[in-house]
Amino acid sequence: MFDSVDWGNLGNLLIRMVEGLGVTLSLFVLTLLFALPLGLLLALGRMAKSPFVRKPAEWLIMVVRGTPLMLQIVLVYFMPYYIIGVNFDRFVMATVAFVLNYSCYFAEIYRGGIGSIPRGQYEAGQVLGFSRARVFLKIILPQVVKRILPPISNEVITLVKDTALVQIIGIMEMFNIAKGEMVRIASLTPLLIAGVFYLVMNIIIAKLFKAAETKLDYYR
Amino acid sequence: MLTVTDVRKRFGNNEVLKGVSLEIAQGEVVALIGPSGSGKSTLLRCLNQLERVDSGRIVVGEDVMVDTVGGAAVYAPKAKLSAINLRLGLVFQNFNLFPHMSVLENIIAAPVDVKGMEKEAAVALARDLLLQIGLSEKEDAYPYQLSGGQQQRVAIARAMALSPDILFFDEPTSALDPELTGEVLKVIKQLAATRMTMLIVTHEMAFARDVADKVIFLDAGTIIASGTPEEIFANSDNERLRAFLSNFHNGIVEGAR
Ligand SMILES: Nc1ncnc2c1ncn2[C@@H]1O[C@H](COP(=O)(O)OP(=O)(O)OP(=O)(O)O)[C@@H](O)[C@H]1O
Ligand SMILES: [Mg+2]
Repeated sequence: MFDSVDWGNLGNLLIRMVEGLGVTLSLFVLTLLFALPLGLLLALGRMAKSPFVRKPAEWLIMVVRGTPLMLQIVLVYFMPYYIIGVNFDRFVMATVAFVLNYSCYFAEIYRGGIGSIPRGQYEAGQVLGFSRARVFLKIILPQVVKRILPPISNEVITLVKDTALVQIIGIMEMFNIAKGEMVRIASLTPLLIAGVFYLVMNIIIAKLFKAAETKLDYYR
Repeated sequence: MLTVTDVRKRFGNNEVLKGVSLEIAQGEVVALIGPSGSGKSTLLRCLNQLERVDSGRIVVGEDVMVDTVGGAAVYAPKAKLSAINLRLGLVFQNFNLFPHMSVLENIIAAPVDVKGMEKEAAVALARDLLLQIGLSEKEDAYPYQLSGGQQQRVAIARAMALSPDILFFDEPTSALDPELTGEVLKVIKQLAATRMTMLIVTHEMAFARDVADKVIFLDAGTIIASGTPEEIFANSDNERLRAFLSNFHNGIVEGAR
């Protein structure tokens, strides 16, 4: 009798947590999808010759990296309401805040990677007749990717854990649900399950990055 | 083939090229020598559009790359500059091969990507060049797997793959261990034998004497002497040139190498 009740509860709990995991994963994937390319654009802006491009990029990166992500989530979510009196979807606004935040962190990683490629690589490309864009895409960027994989993987692992922050604006992601369930059934099991989900995600991510690094090991 | 007239270039307050004029004929091999900091690399970089001159005139074949109007340098339109750039090749002191590309990929990259050559044709061309530099068996190797001498030979093949009208070398053996310079100099001599037009910055005086039709001595941004190797190395009455060459006395004596 006890058994069947427990299993039923556990089943319901798991279903609810997996729903939360779906929200967590969506936020994670969408953030990477937008922040990885945006970060590159931001890095190029940050390295631009024109101060009209460089300075704003520099300030944006400084402000975003210098303030808490949680504050940014709240600010981005409530700003439209206070400015134009409209509320946008929580999840959309949380994603916007995450993309903004992670673009800035990725930008600094890209910038470091781009800056570490010797001048001679640009000059060799230029002398061989490649346009500036082709030099960047064909010669510089592939080498940058190899160099930034380790710091990017650190950020991605942090991103998995940061997704829990969006509960501040009431989004029912995995951690928020786990907390609710914990109180409801007076058990630590939901928290432990959430912990295992985060951990497994990060183990998979670490393995994927390791595989990518191995794949790029063919040259030095 | 190349005419340089009164080229000036300054970095800030430092005038590095103080009115350089020279001429290279089709099939001619010119050695450019001079002390460190005299502006040899800067001159090559100006000719290859890695730097912009402040004034002067550079003509490649029939095409004016830059001319001076009212005291300021005026460059040809972008398309023309690109076309001129493709006719000039540059081999760097430290090779600058692309580390993420195999030897073959390094050589075919520009012909395919820039010139729009068919890949098969570019590969055939690259294999032919690799044969000439004696590195056929290395086509799938990556630069880090090659010695400095081998890397520099690949860099020469990479430049040659665009069939340049003129090939420039900036101290092609300076980054190499002494025992590796010979193999690179041999490849350059091979090119000289095919009447490839070349301008070679070098500190290898014996090599310059062997291979060059003309030697130019650049000192503090000015060409001080210019002539046949005999005129330059044997009996120059120029004080600065003699002082410079006395540093290389050994190199010239070893000239039999
Ligand atoms: N990008 C630059 N910015 C400022 N000064 C430069 C720059 N490039 C070269 N110079 C200066 O120009 C002068 C000539 O340099 P260059 O490299 O052309 O000499 P070089 O004859 O090639 O010397 P070396 O034999 O040592 O290679 C030097 O005083 C150098 O410091
Ligand atoms: Mg130099």
